Amino acid sequence: MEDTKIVDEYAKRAVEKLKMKKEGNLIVFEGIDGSGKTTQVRMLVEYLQSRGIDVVFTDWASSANIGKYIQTMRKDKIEVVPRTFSLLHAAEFAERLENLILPALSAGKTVVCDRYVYTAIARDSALGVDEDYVKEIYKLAPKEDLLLYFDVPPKMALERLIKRAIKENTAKQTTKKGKKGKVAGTISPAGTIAGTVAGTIAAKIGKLDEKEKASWTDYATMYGYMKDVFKTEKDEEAYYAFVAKVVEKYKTVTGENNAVVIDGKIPADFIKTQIMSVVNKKIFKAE
Amino acid sequence: MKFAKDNFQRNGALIIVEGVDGSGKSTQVQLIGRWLESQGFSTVFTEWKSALQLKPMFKKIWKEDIRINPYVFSYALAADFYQRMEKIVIPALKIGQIVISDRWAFTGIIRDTSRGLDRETVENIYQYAIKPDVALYYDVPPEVAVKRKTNVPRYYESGSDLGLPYDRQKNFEVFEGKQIETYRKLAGEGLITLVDGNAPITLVSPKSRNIVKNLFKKRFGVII
Repeated sequence: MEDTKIVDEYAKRAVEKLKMKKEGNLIVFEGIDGSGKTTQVRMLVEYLQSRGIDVVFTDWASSANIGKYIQTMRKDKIEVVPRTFSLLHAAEFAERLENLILPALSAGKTVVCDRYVYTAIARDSALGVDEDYVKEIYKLAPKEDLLLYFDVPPKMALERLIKRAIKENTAKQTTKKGKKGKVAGTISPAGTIAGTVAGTIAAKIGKLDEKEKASWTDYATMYGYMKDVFKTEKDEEAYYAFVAKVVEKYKTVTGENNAVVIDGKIPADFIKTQIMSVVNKKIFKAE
Repeated sequence: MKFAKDNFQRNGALIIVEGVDGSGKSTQVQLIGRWLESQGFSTVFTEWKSALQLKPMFKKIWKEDIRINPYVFSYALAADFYQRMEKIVIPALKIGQIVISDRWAFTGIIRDTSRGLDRETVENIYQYAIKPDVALYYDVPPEVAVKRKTNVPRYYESGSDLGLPYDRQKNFEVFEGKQIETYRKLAGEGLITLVDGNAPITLVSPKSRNIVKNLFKKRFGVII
């Protein structure tokens, strides 16, 4: 069957495309939801652009097909077994790698990633998938030039997410009449905590009238919201146990990969300055 | 290829069929299922790319011929496989049902290696697949498989996602040829039992039944 050689030839080409040569720089931000990394990613991208650097930003689980479906799954609370969850995210990553990350890197652009393979390693292994298995299915990922790990206590991260959701929703809902919403269910460990918190808070705020809304935005009532996020104390315990596992794995694996640890507790402006100086030193080799 | 050791009690049995499109395996799988049911066994059927949780994703990609690269293809289908294995196959085996699966991890090996992934890479992806009690492979020469296909081959089944240079029909022919070549290799390694599918259905069925009969005698001590 001589014809089959042509299949081998084309298949080889399709796979080789994914092993493109990396010319540009790759900067990776890691940390749990609410650790402050997304704010910093935005600021760094703006800073790099202001310096005239061609920069491409990419978010976790955002590819055109698989990424879009993962988002649908989150929204509709479709649950799958851990290995399926893991492979689906690896598929998403492979899609984004070919369509966005590799073309940018091979064209010499700077790529900034909000989450990268370390997210998969930390999260999937906390869900019970063998760490080596996860590493193997992400083997196509190019090694980053700079890894920033945002370290923050889980409780503080959750408070931030709630604050953010309150801010976004009260701003949104004052212009429109709030829809009556249901308070969302409990957090599924594998889903994004950010999404669940946002949904819960949006639903809660949707139920309030304008006058109530004004008084519900202060910091103290946040603890009231916090109770809404978890249905029971057991759910709360399960959540913190899961996050603790993620954080532990995160610390080990980012540590092994020479991450610059960012103290996520300090004010955003200080962190911004710190990151700019690290980027200039490590990426642009400035003094 | 190594299979995962069962971490559950297998009271039922897992019968799987493999073969290219047009090999007649889907007809055979139906006949085996009906026959076992008529013998009083409780059967469960599952097929490739059918997990409910992922269906809308595949439907869109397949319907619109959206190109995904070989790794995305491989991981997405392995995701589907493990969801069904954990939630359909293993629970059924635990309670003593006979699971009949149209395609198993071998399909992953065949298709992914045809798309350029190393065999080792694919075997690693499927390392948690449990071992079938019987794996029937319906072998037909490429020209027969192609002749049995009456509609225009689809994007993925013809390997057109690889950018093969011909039209759908010709792509399908060479891609089927490639897959048959690999299937025969797996049969040669003793991983799947080759059944000559190049004969009328009525003649192929007894062959399938005999293999299943042997399994039941060996595994359950039952003669059917």
